Amino acid sequence: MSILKELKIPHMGSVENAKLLSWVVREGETYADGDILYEVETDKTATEIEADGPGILVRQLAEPDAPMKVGDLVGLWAAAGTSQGDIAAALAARDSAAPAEAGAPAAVAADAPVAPAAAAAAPTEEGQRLSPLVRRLAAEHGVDLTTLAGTGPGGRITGDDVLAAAGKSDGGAGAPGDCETIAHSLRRQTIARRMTEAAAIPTLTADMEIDLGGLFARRAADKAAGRSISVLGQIAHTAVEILVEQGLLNAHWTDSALLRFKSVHLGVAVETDDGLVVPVIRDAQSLDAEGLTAAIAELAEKARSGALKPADLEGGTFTISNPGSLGPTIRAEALLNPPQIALLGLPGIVRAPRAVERDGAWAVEVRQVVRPSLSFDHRAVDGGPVIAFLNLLKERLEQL
Amino acid sequence: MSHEMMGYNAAMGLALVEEMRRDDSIFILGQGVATGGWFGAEKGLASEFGTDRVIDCGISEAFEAGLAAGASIAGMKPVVNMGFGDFALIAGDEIYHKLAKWRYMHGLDVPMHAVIIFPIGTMGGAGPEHSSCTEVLGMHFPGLKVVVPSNAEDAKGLMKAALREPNPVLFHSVQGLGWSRGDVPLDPEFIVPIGKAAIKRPGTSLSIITYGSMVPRSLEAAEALAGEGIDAEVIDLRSLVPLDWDCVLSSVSRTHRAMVVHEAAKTAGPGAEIAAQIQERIFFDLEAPVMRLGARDFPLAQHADLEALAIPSVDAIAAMARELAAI
Repeated sequence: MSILKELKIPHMGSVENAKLLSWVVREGETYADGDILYEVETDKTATEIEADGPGILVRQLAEPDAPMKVGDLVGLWAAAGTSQGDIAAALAARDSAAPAEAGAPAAVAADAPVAPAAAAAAPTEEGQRLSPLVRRLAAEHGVDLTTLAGTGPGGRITGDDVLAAAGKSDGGAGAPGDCETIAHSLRRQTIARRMTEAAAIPTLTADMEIDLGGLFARRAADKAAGRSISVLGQIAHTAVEILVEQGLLNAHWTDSALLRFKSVHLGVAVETDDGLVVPVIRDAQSLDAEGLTAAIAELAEKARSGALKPADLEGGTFTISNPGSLGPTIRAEALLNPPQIALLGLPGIVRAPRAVERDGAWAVEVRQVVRPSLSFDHRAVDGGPVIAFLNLLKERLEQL
Repeated sequence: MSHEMMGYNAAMGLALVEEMRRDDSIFILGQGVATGGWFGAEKGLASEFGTDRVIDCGISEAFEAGLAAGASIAGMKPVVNMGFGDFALIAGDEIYHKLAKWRYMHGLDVPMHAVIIFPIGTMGGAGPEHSSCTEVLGMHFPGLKVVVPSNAEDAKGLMKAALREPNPVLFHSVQGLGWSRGDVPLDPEFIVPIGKAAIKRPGTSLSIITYGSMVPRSLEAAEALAGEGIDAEVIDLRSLVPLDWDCVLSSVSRTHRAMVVHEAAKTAGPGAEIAAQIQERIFFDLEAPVMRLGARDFPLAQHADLEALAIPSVDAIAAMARELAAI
């Protein structure tokens, strides 16, 4: 057996696609167990791939930005301490044993960069392969192809890229002029796919108005006592409590069955520069409001700094979306996060006039209120339990 | 006008009945036609029209086609059911020379109405000499029109068009679809014109150009691909001669990627011609090479499982589309 061993993109939860961003270890370099070998962007997040033992990186077989899948070959390594001579001999043997598969270009050396699947379209040393369409459109519109970033398979320039650069779209007349082409990141593609799935679910949203006067009064007291509980942390804590007690909305829909969970793995939507992510706080029911406040802050920070691991984004059973932190104050209806069957949206907190009973008489007072929206999968659950959930949420938050 | 759910062969039969009622010069011959035909298309014809117009023959394909050529040049409108298209090759001279060429050799002065029913393709283990897809031969010999319906509605509509066509038509009925059912218009003036393709599923990512038995499979593959973000357009050619180049070329000009799928053997099959013309005519609209998927170049096995391995499956169509989309 060859002393050369294959380095493949490791399994990371439900991640399928992984774009290699950059190599950290250079060819010929020795690395230790746990050293970062390379970085990938996955469907969920960017992450660093660590060595699972010491070794020498012999060859980098994947180029940055090549689209790849979990399990694809990215490089070759050898055991730490293998001599340069042995490695060179093994490489020579590997090259001469290059498989002469029918149809494979004979001139491609076995250790040339291998771009999986889209090999035919990968950039070559002489430059990009250009389709007839691209060549015609570039000539027609006077587009300098060397200035274009391709959005096609393997980063190839497509006809659409040329038209975009020329300020035209395939739509022809009436298409908008100058535009900037932003290739979809894997995360954006994942969001697009998941939102399309979510939009196909028969979803309804129920709203509730909750007076947060009590919560703010208690928060001031907590602060004085040195306890830090955010409004989001408190609402999340109360919501989790009700989810566990009620046992109806903390569930996944599958084609054959509804899976109701006892533990709440709480997803909290976080806005990042590269789009929305929903990191998951595991066993949120085991945390008190203060613990949950801290956990949310920690995950949000990880999300914004790009330090989330794919595992941080998996296994959520219920999601809270908090667009209120950015502004909207009327409603916070959201698309579901399938296979979860319910999602609590929190708009901003506003001061609003409310009718309040004081000593047997009604008066209008200015109160701080929030109007949460609970979106639910009507295949899985009907309105009754959803209203009951919101009633309990209101009751408990108003009586804090 | 109302519709009725019926089988593909029955829909062909309905077209024959309607046209024979309308036009006395139409008559049909072939093995077993007076007793309903091999696959039931002629059921009831003999009792309505009598055995002067519904003529049972022995095993005599060459004579049947020769009779059709002679009768048609004399002004009659013969229909021959070859039973299995494979056996029509016995009548190769009469079909590809006499029927295809006589109208041209006589200065187009006389019409030549003749329809040769040419059942093609696999039907689950009928064996190598009963399962061929020979439609490419009709494309290769100028002078013939060539149709291949993919569903019951088209089986009726194209048969109606064939029976009113002043040129000889090779009507390739698809054996594998013989008992597939569909909603068929009962309007006796319902016609599917020869030479008009149908876009069965519009799409933007690539064009799957197909016909006959591969239409339902391509549509199923396209639905699977849609879940992966590949939006395939599926074109049912319906006629191979004349071929609806406007439809094919405008589709490929929009999607910039094309693949041809047929049950006929890949090598020198209809896809070879279609792929060649696409690249000749709209090379500079292409993002990728035109791909072809056809039966493997084997004599087909008699065992149905082995036979199925030789012809394009839904998975194979989807796999080629993925490959094409990734170029």
